[in-house]
Amino acid sequence: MEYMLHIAILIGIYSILAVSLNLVVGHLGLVSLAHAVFYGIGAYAAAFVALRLDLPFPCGVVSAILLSCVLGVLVGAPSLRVRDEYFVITSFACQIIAFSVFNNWPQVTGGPLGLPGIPPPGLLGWSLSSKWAILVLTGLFCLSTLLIAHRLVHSPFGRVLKAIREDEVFAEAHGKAIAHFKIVTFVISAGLASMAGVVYAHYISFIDPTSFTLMESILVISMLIIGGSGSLGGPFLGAILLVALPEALRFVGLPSGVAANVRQVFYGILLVLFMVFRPQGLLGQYAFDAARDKA
Amino acid sequence: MAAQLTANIAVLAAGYILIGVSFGLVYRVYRFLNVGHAIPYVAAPYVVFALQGLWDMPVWLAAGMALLAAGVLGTLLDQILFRTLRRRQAASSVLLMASLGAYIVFENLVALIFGNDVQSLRPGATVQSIGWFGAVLTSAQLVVVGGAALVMLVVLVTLRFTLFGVCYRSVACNPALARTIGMNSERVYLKTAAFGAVLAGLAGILISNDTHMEPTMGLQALLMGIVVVIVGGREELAGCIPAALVIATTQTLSAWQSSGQWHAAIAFLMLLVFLVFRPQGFFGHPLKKAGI
Repeated sequence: MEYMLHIAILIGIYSILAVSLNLVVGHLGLVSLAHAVFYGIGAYAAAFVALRLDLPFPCGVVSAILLSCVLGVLVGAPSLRVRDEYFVITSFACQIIAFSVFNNWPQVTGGPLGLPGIPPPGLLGWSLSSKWAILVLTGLFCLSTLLIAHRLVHSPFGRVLKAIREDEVFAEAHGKAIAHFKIVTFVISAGLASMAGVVYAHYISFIDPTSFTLMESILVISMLIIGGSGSLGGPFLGAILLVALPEALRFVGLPSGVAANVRQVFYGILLVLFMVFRPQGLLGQYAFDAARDKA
Repeated sequence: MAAQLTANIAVLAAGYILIGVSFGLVYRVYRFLNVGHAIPYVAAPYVVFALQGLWDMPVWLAAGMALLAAGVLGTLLDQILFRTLRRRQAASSVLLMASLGAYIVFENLVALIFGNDVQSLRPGATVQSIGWFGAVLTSAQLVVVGGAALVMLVVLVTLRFTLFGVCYRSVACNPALARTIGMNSERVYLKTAAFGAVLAGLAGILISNDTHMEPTMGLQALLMGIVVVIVGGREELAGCIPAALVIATTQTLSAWQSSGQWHAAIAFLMLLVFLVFRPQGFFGHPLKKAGI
């Protein structure tokens, strides 16, 4: 039972990440490989607030979101000036730089040793130490992420995003300040992703830079691609599949040293197969084939 | 000190040139970030390692077979995966994600076969070092520098003076027009993929021979290749030389002044600066804002 709860919490955390990334990838049409940056910033901010400043859990949540939004502007501003594959490269670059900062700033992040002993989330005197409580908390965060994403996408704002995705020049020609729309979306996505980091840090109670690498960004984008980007249920489905299916490998009884590699092989094969046979994913509406790419 | 620093910069830059040229060559016609380019880069040194370990093969023969294997891998990847997607006119992000998937599979297969640990192509060998104006270089480092110069020369001459070079440049410049005048662009893709993969394999062997090798080295090298190509300007492969020199100099000097831990961050910070202020690189022409 404990194990099933653990899986459910992980699915919740990755759902937050996938749903928030979907705003940028599925609705704006930009492939970002920097999502683990904001995941990590959320986790480190929460850990810092809890361990060094000794403030209660809600302060950690607020400061994580604020910090992530501010960094979202910093990361987003230069990268949104460039297009298509240049955006991919910039997000690559941000991911590498962020990992380097997590790894090499021991005063704040604990360096490669990480930050152990993060307390379980406490609220008004309760300490949510049981897995059930954490699951409820994750569910709440997940639900609010979904609601925000849903509101955003089904608003006039969301329609402009779709226009930018389908034809950026067309949207601009119709008087939409596309840079503004891009940056706001990017910042919202970053802020939502940081919530996943907060939950992760308080749940696992230990964080180190290896949890927020490029591979993690790739994993989240694979969830989107497999579940289907541009839809609301797609990222969810992707998170469930990519967290739950590799767990099945555990029951095959592979030695632990090999299991990680086998899991990666599995992700890679899925990624290739989906790109070749079903680029829009299982539930998706968007197959990365905006008109401008068809030369 | 100055001599040693210069020597270190030269070796580092030569490695970047080797990776950058092979990646840039493929990137110019593919027009997407081919992460699969790291596959031959990882494959070749591991083939050398396996051949030498299994049959005690002489180095030149093992290296030759490894380059052959690298070329075959690059060609297969192009023909099986990328050709299918090209035929469907898939978007560049689809090709990028597919190549990423292929690389992840390959990297982990290598890890499953050879283990995740760091390995050396010359275990236990005594390092021959050569003193030169107060700088000390190992023979492996000299081979890297020589190899980079040779590869650069071969690539530039091939693209400038051969029939393949002419076809390559026209497909790189305007694939639709090249097809219109009856050029077999698929042949150009095939040959470029093979050529690029062999060069990537060579880069992998030379650099692993100097340092060490591990399954995850492909992505790191590929990222440096991307940085070098973008900073140098994707339209002119010779731009790799100044780009590699500038990046290597900054990295070496900063490692000398503070410590080596910011190595990767510095390279990518330079990339960001270039992407924002000069996205066409050192030699490129200004980019059109909207490609319609």
